Amino acid sequence: MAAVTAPAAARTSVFNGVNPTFVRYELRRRFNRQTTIFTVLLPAVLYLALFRTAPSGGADLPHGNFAAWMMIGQAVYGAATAAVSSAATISVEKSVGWMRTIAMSPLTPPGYLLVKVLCSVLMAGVPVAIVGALGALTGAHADANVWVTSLLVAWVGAAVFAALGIGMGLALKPDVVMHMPGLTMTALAFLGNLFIPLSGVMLEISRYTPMYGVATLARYPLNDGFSFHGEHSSVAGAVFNLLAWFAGFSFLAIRRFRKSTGRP
Amino acid sequence: MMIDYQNRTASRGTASPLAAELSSVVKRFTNAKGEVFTAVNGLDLRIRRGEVVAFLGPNGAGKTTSIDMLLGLTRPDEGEVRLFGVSPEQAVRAGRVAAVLQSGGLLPDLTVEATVHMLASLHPGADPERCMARANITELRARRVAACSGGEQQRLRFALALLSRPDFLVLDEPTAGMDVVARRDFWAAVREDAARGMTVMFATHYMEEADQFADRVVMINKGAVVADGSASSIRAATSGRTVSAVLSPYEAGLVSRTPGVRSSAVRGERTYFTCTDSDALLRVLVGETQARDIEVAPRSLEEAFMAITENAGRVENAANAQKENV
Repeated sequence: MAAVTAPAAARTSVFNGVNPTFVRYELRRRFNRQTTIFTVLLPAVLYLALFRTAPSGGADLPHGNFAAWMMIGQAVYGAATAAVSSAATISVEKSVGWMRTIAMSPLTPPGYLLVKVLCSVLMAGVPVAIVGALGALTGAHADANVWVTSLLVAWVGAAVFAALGIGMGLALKPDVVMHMPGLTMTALAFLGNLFIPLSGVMLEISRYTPMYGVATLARYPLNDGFSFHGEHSSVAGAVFNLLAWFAGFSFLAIRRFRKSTGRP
Repeated sequence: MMIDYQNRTASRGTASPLAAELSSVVKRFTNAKGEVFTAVNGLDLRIRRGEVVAFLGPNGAGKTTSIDMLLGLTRPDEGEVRLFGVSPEQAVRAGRVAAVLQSGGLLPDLTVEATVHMLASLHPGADPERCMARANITELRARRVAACSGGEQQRLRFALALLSRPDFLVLDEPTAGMDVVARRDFWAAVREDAARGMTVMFATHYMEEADQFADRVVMINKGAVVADGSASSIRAATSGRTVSAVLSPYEAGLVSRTPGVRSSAVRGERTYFTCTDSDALLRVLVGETQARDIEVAPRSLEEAFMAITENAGRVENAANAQKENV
């Protein structure tokens, strides 16, 4: 019997239990009105509202235009918001004791986290694709490699916020977590230089916020790291920012997760 | 439909290997003020394969904490838990143990069908449709969990527990919130599995359920086993009535020496007599004393616990406690 031998082999994996059916149900739970507004509608609307607001005299970048700059920013924002949307589902799961049901199944704790991260990354692809399509339709232009690399970084960088979503979901109560992720992400996006080109003191502050790393890396092929006012951001600084926040959020998520199987 | 459990137990013999083994298990909790509270205090319990065990105790006796440790959901502070010779986590992941927990554990926004299919995907070779039919929830498939009654949710939890085709099923007050019909159907379904040799342990505070269904009854109080024996021996210890009346201490002293009175206690102005023959005691009270406001009440499980713990301290077989008093 194949059905018996296959799982016996899979049982040795730390991600035991992860399967497409489970991921599909998990994804279906993630797509509700709240997440659709923040992950699909808001980045699209913000892009359309802001793609023509180029700073005077600085509309052109080394490898593209301001609309492409805004498109990448909104893609990063949308992907991050989609990734963090796991917070709402996890918070509900924790409060109703779903963690205990999962603990009584063959799905391992790393497997549970993998499903959450996988769904976050899959969902993050949706706003990236939509904002990318809007950019192409509204005159964003950039070199071909910019389109591919920048949107890919925006998408994959969502992993940082997948970890944040898990940590938030485990730490906060469901009624709080309804609005928190969307609002937090919007604030972080502003601080992270995603909506309005920042300079001077604001840019210096921005370098310490969680979205700066992903945004700077995603835009690097477009602007070679230069802001509209000529300030330079290094790849090393952006990578350091990204890794530091990813490590921090992962640490928070794992620490919270270890405590979460007891009775609520 | 009716199955003779006593015979079945005898035929299985006592040499069968253990399904569960809790050895000197201790669990303490610390509350917000920093006070330490011992929920489970040196619990020892061995469950043989194929046994149907009722786990009986008043609220706060440590039933749920014990079950959590049995399932690996909580780690004991001291002692050891083994299921089929391995750790609870291993037994659970291998699908050998499944549980119907008291409350929660379900996602309110999912439908019944989605819940069963989602969790079935985690168990290799599970048959979600058959489990739904067994738990009698097939017609509820399109209903959201949030719209299900307490009893319907309990049936859903039962369906989920069957997904892994477990060897050992643990039920924590499984029929709470069910009406009479649902309760009867539920036990009929569990009986079917038990008849195939599945080990079952259920926590309850209904003596009738323990009496009708279990081969063996384990009573716990204050986190330790106070009685462990066959259902009939435990029933004998919990039978009898409590007679109470307002009467003078002198008369109370005389009455408590009447044959059949096991114990007496004064609470407020009333004196409570625990007895095996309430009719004889009533005749004495009415005919020979000035007793007023006489009341007769069946003995509650809590009183049975008190009787067992007070009379015999720690007893292995409640029937012994019974004999000493007669």
